[in-house]
Amino acid sequence: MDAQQAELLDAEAISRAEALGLHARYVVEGYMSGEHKSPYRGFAVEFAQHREYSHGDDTRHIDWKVEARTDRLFVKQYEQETNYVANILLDGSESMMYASGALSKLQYGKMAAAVLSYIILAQRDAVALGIFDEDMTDYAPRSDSRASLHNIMARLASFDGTQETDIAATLHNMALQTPRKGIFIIISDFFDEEEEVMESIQHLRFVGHEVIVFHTLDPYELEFPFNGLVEFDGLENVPKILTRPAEIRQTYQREFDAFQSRIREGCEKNGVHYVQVDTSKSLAQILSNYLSFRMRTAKGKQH
Amino acid sequence: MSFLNSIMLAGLAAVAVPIIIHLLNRRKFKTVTWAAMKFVKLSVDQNQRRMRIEDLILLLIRCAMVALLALALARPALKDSSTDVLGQAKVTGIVILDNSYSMELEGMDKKIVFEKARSAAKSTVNALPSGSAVGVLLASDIVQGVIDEPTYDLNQAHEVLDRARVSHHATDMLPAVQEAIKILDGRAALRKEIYVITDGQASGWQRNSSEINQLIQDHKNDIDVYVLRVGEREPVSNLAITGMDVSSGLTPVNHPLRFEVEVANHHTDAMEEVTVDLFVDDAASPVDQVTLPSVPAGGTATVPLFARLDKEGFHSIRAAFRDPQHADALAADNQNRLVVRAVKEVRVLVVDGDTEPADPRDHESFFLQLALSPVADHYVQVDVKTPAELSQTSLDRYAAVILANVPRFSADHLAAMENYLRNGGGVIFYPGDQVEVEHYNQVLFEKHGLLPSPFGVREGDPSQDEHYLEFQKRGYEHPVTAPWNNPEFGSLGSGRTFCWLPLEEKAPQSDVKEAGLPNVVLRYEKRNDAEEEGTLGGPALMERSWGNGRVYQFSSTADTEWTDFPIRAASVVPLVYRMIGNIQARKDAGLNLRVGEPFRQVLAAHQSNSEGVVIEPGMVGTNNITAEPDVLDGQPVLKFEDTHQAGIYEFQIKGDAGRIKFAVQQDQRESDLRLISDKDLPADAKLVHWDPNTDFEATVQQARVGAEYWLLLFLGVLALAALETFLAQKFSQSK
Repeated sequence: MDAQQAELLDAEAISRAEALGLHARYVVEGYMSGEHKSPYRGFAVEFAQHREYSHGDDTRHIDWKVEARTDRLFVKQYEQETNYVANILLDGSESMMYASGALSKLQYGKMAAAVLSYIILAQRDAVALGIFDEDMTDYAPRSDSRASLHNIMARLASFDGTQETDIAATLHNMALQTPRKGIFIIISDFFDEEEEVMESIQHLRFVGHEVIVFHTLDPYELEFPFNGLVEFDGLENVPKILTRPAEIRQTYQREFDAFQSRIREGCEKNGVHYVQVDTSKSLAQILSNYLSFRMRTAKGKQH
Repeated sequence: MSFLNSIMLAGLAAVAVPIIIHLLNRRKFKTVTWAAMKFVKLSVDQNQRRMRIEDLILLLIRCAMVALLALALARPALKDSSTDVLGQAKVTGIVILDNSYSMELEGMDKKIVFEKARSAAKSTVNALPSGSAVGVLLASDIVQGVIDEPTYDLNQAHEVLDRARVSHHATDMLPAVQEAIKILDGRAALRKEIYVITDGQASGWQRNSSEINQLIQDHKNDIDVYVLRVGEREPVSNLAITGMDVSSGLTPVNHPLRFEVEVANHHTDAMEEVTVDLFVDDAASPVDQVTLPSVPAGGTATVPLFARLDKEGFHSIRAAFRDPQHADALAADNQNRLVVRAVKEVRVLVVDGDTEPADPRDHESFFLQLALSPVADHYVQVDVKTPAELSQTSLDRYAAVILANVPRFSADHLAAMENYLRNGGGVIFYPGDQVEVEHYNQVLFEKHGLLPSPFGVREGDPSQDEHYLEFQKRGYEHPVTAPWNNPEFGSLGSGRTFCWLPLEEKAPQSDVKEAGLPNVVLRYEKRNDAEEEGTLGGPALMERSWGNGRVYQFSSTADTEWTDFPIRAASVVPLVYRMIGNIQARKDAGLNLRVGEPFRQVLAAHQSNSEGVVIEPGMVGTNNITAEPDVLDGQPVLKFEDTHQAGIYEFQIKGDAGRIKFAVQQDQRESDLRLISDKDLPADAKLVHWDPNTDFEATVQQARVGAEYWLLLFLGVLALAALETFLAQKFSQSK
């Protein structure tokens, strides 16, 4: 693993995420001390239905509570049990190149993708990585081999965003091309046609995928802290704009908040986990927050 | 609407500055590569129109500020506006205070006119609206700009007026009016006023009245002139001592000296029984007194007074009226002063060119010697030498050198003579039959510029006594001969000249730098046998200054060979004494000065770093003066210029025990106190008969129209600046 790849694996993030993912059981036990042990592992948390016990079923999955009530043996079934596929889709369009500090959104996204891949592979689940702009630019097909981590890192490291985005088209394609239910983790700033994007997310949901949105934003995009006369040079072939940003900051923030809200609400409406990623914040913190949130919601669903 | 400072209107061009800054600022921006363009565009679209309008508003305000500032600096004014909304417009005024010595006249109330004039001057200053500027000029025939750059500090003007003193100059208002107009011309002011405070003495106003009228008329559109007349309305009579002279010529110690004192009567009636006292130095009692039986109305009378000086050195001689009724209301001209230097002996060298004859009475110098030094221990000591002895003689110990019938001079002689003259000596040339006329004319006149005139071709015949010339009997113009204008002094005209070398009054002069212009001292009358007998003819005696000395040139002999004048001792002695006295006076030049004339003391070259002290009359002040190189001949000179008060001054070189006295005499013209009539005062000036009850402010108020608007514009600029700050702040708030 060369330096460029190593950069993507935020050691701190991995160590903390692993604490939640790779050693999930162990950690979950820690979270839920005093309660019964979670039988679930990793991301595969979707409970599907009960089925009458038949010979050969793993006795671990017998629902003893039901047996106690009905005297009959049922086993619990899960949507995806093990070896689910996590499709990590990273927006590699030019707008992701923006960086107010040292780290661009794309680099941050790459780090997030790398960390997530590592965690997921470490749990022996499968990961597929797609980097897209107008189209799927780079795709690492699903693999549950830890060895494929190297491949994923290499792809991430060698990628440079240069193009305009078409998130919607990419997601539609993915929805069509991925028949097996899985998890879609979309890392993007969503600077695209919002409605189309939401439609494509809906599409993914419709075909039964779980979708997690990592809405990656630069702190400057949130705060718009410029002063004086500034010429904004668009990253995606947009004409330049000369203005005094201080005088339009409130309008900008209002519009930007509205945009964020629309994305968030669209996600929530479709049962999509929405995570706002501020590239100035610690990646480890964001991932650990999200994973703990995910644990909590999974637990809720279980009940 | 006019602009008082219209050059500032060019500042309107500065309106372009905010626009240029605005445009330049639009070129100065940061470039940010940006992803969320959609939102920037949305925000800009919502705000662009507003921001453009705000920019435009701020730009217009800034341009308006610059424009208003330029207009305010250009000082717009309405000449005929009588509004007082903005406060009375400021005035730039010049107070011309007449301080000629007629202002010292005592009024009925026993106060001198100048005190009234001072009050009048202060009332003009008090009448100025606040924020006005005022200059003060003290005017006589010279202008003393005590505040020649108008000041806004009116207290300073009061202080200056409090300190102002009467000078002993005569009145002439022209220089002061010219100066005041020059000062005001250089000022940007809406209202310019000149206040001339004067007693209205006719002699002072009439001297240049047409020029003054013209000046005031030329400026009547922008400068208001007020003439404030102070003093009595009626012309005042006055008796004055207008002249004083030592008619004895020489001033030896312990000899009676004759002083001619001139008394002028400016009354309309003859004055009788006028007693004049003569005082020496600071003595309280007079040394001589003479009562003039009558001084005619408007005329003068000359009175001789005698004094004896008991020791060598400088003496001040003062002539004054005795009787209080003659010591009239104008004190300054009731006395006059003179400084003389008393000497123990006067040595005269006579170089005799004709000592051949065995009988000394035939020597050229015989009569001269007799006339100059009649007795053995006389204060005039005469040494007679031959031309051959001249080379071995040091000239500097002689008060005068008389060269009688000397044939010619060697280069050494001439060099010695020039040196002697440079140091203030006096040389008197007499012609005679030995004289080589060509040599005199070419060398002495043309080359060295020593003689005042070339000698002409000999006229007359000494061997006959029918045809002759006589000296003029009246109309003496030269100071040396002036006493003979008084018949009591005797007569010069009785001598007869049978042969002479004519002198030329207007001979073309050589360009010798040290030679002064020639003057005629004494003339002949026309020949006794000519048709116009008795009228004035050619010069008999001429003089010129040469270096610091003086040269006299007779046209006839020192002995009786050509003329019988030398035997007329009553005429010859005073004439030659006065000539020698005149030489001395030139040496002591500057002991008797007219008021305002600078005192100059020529020093030796090694004294160039000397400092001097001058004590003014009445010990009112001492002044330190420092030597400065003379412009003329590079000799160091101590100079004292502040001689505006008449009286006796004392001068001392620091570290030197000797004191020099010098007298400053008042200007005689000022003694005539007749007043100018109101109608003869400048027609374009506003006349105010000022007395302490005059409300001058009310008088000028009516005339002070006009308003300036710069303050209003300036307030506008301030308001715009405040608005600009507020709006810029408000506009830059985030929206």
